[in-house]
Amino acid sequence: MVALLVSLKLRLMSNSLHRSTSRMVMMLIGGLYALLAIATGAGAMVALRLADASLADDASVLGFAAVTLGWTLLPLLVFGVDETLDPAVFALLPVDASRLMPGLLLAGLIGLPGVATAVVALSSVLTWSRGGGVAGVVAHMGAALVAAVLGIATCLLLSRTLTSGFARLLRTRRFRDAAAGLIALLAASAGLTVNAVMSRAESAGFDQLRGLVHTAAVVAGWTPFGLPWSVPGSLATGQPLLAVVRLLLSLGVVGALWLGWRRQLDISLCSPIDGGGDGTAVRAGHGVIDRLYPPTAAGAIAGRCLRY
Amino acid sequence: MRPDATAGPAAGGSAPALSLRGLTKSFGTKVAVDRLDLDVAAGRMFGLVGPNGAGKTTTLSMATGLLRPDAGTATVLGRDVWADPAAAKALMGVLPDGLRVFDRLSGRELLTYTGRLRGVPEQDMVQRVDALLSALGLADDAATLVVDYSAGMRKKIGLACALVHAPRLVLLDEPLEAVDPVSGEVIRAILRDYVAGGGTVVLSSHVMELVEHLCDDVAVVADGRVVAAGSVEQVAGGQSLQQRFLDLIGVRAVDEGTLAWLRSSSR
Repeated sequence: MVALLVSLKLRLMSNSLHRSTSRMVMMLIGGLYALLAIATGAGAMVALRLADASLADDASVLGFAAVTLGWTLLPLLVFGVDETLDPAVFALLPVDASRLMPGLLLAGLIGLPGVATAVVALSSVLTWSRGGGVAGVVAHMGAALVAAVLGIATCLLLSRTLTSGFARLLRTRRFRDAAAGLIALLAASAGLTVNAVMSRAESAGFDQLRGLVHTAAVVAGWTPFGLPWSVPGSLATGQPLLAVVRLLLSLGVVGALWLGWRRQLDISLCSPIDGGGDGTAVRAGHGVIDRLYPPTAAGAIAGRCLRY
Repeated sequence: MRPDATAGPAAGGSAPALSLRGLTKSFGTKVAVDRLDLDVAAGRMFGLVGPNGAGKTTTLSMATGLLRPDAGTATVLGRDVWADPAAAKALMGVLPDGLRVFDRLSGRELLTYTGRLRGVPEQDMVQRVDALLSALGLADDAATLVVDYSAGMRKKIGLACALVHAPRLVLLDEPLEAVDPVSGEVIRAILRDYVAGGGTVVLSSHVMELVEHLCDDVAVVADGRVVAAGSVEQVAGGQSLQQRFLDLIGVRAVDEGTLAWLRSSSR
């Protein structure tokens, strides 16, 4: 089933690329960006091998927490529902959620963001190739590998669970309008934040800045977004017990997301058709709007624009 | 594509292929299907007719595991659909009305992947896919993406997907809508052959002549309930099915004058 779903996803992607040249061009441009992201990300992870454990911990936790947050928010705001493997299309088939989920999850990794995230996440194993003796190095790298796999799973599950949870909402036009507004707001405020931080950083000393980054990393490390990524750092900074706690907590997060996603999948496999409206008809008399414009063709168009 | 050899008419005995008991579904305050009972005997061509909004599609959706009923049971070949939807879906083939498919696949790929997901043995696959594509006149368009298909071609590839795993029961929502006359005749022949081989067909339609000529049994649904059911002869009762249907539903005549402005002379 896993192999079947993965091959289906690949086939759907290649067909949609071959169908239109513009998609192919976008894929190529996206591919270049992805390569750049991989080179930067993996390069940074390898470079952090040379930094002391505390700095490597803070930087990787913050970076990967941001990536995980991106996996959570971007599909909601920008891409809407991933339509290549919409669960509704499996509704007629004799499959239940548990059989589909491993394949669907792996298929979610196929594509530029998935590949880039996976490569950079796995390169963090090199960051943590440290510690005393062969056993120490193996333990650190093993922890980093487990953490990376859990982290990638968290990314994929967060995006799946939220998109299918909000799928009905995401399909509405009103939400897409609101999302566009929200993105503009976020972009604008991100610019302002960067400005504010930069101006503060100029006046603040290095130590103050380093303290700020550390606080941010500690906070992010206890959120579901940063939890798995903070496991190897805890081990490397000499807190094996903390590493175990974080590992168990991230396992808990992955498990909870898995169950939530299974529930939603089971529902959408058995009710792929939206309920045909809940019987609330649009109020017939938009009296005010109708009276606002003259009863001409142009008036009707203006009224329609206002109504939406 | 005939049903599996093991699935002769005798296999089910007199047990119905599809049995609906007290099915109920409301959307908000509107009751779409109201305590509906229906039995479809195995090895029969069964027509479900009714006016727009009578609850045909809702009923078929609840029988095929696509819409959870508020109350009541649906049993397919002795298996409770809502106790184990996946197992029940394995037993039937369904042509739904406007459900999404993988439309970025070519016709041949869609049929092959549907077969694989339904567990059709790989050694039978090419032969079955070729047979269905050529029978339905889609062989020339097998490499075209389904998203580029016309409405009639989508119906035909949907029908092929419903038949590829050789189920003993198929449920088809408006199978001949938007299909050209030649393909329509081919589909009718395929369905007749399928029933002759022991399979059971349930189809919904607005077209009384079609149901009258094609089906063995018929049920008339109105306002979410079955108002008449039985063999076509029984239900028609000596009239044409169309006339009997209009009598059962109660015709609402258009008031003289309400649409008078439609006449070209009035302007």
